[in-house]
Amino acid sequence: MKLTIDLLISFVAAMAYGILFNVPKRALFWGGVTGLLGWLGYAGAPRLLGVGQPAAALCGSILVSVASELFARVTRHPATVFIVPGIIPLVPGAAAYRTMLLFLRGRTVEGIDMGVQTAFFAGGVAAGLLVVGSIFSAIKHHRHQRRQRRAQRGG
Amino acid sequence: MDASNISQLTLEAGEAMLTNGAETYRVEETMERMGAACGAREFEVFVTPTGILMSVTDGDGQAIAKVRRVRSLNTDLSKVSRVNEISRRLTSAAITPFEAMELLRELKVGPPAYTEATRAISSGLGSAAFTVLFGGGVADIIPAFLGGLSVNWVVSAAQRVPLSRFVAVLGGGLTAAMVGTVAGFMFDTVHLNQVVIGNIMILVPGVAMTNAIRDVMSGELVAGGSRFIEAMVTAVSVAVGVVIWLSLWEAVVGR
Repeated sequence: MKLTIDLLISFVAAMAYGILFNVPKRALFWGGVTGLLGWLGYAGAPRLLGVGQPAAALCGSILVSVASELFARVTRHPATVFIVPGIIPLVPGAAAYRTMLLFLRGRTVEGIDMGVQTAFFAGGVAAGLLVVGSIFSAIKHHRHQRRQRRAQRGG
Repeated sequence: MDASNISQLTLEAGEAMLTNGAETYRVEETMERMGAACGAREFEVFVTPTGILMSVTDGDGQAIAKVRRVRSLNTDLSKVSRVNEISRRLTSAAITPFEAMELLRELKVGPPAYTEATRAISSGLGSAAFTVLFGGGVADIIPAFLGGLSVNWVVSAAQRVPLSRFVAVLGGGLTAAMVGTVAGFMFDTVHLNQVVIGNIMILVPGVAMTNAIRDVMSGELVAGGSRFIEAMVTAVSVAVGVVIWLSLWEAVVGR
């Protein structure tokens, strides 16, 4: 039940963020869906695979990037239009805030601990975007080359 | 088309993409495709987040080099998407270069996809959603919504002055913490921290971060590096804003 509510909220959050960045109207709903899928990966991975926080972030961000690249192919919008709103629920805003608070209270050691955890989490999100993005651009590159070769043979 | 026209058209397209928040590698890619479609024999372009350098040689061997300084405005992904569309139609010869130029001019002066009011409301909505997502309760929804509205208002007012983006974001962080502490002070049921987290989520440098990663991934190290710095400085500005208010509050009110 908690998961269902969280999924709905991440959908709303991603859409709201999409409006802030003027995501095209026809793509807005899918931007929201991307955010929902990201949260599904992040919240689902620890339950299914028993992984820790950074790996959960990685799973979420992989889902976000795969969904964005697919939506981009179908709707003919650039993938950024879906990634930007979709990735937002995975940004470790709360963890960064707690880190800040710990430093402010003078609890430096705990702050460093929290800060490192936050950095790893952010690294997980970045890694997901990187890996999936590279795979998709490699596929695109090969398709392009094959098409060119075929065109040369035909001409 | 001669070199001068090609450079004019591709620079317009590149600038429109870059000011509205496209990744630099995508700007380069689009400009190259458009240049080729207009019949350029050689086309080199180097894009950084703050400017475009290009040189083009046309079919007659006439060469031209141009530099354009670009200042980023508000992120408008609709416009990025529309330039993409124009470039695709140009390369598939569905429109002529002159029609493309006309479409780009219209796009440049056209309004954003959503009105100011819609964006303000959605910043409230986004803030409320994140507050609940990070463990806030029902009582936190209204203060988080109002906080989102105020943060959005402060940031856009500061940018209209115009203050530096980082100062504007610092003001946003300050406002976020202010709304959170005041709401927490007035109502015992409000979770101060969750409201502040929801409010600062609207200030997260999402576009800069995503673009930094995607630029580095495509080998655009200069652009990726500077976007990364932009994202980091923005995040630090938010943090400084929040910390300034919280320390003041704790010193004066004491909780």
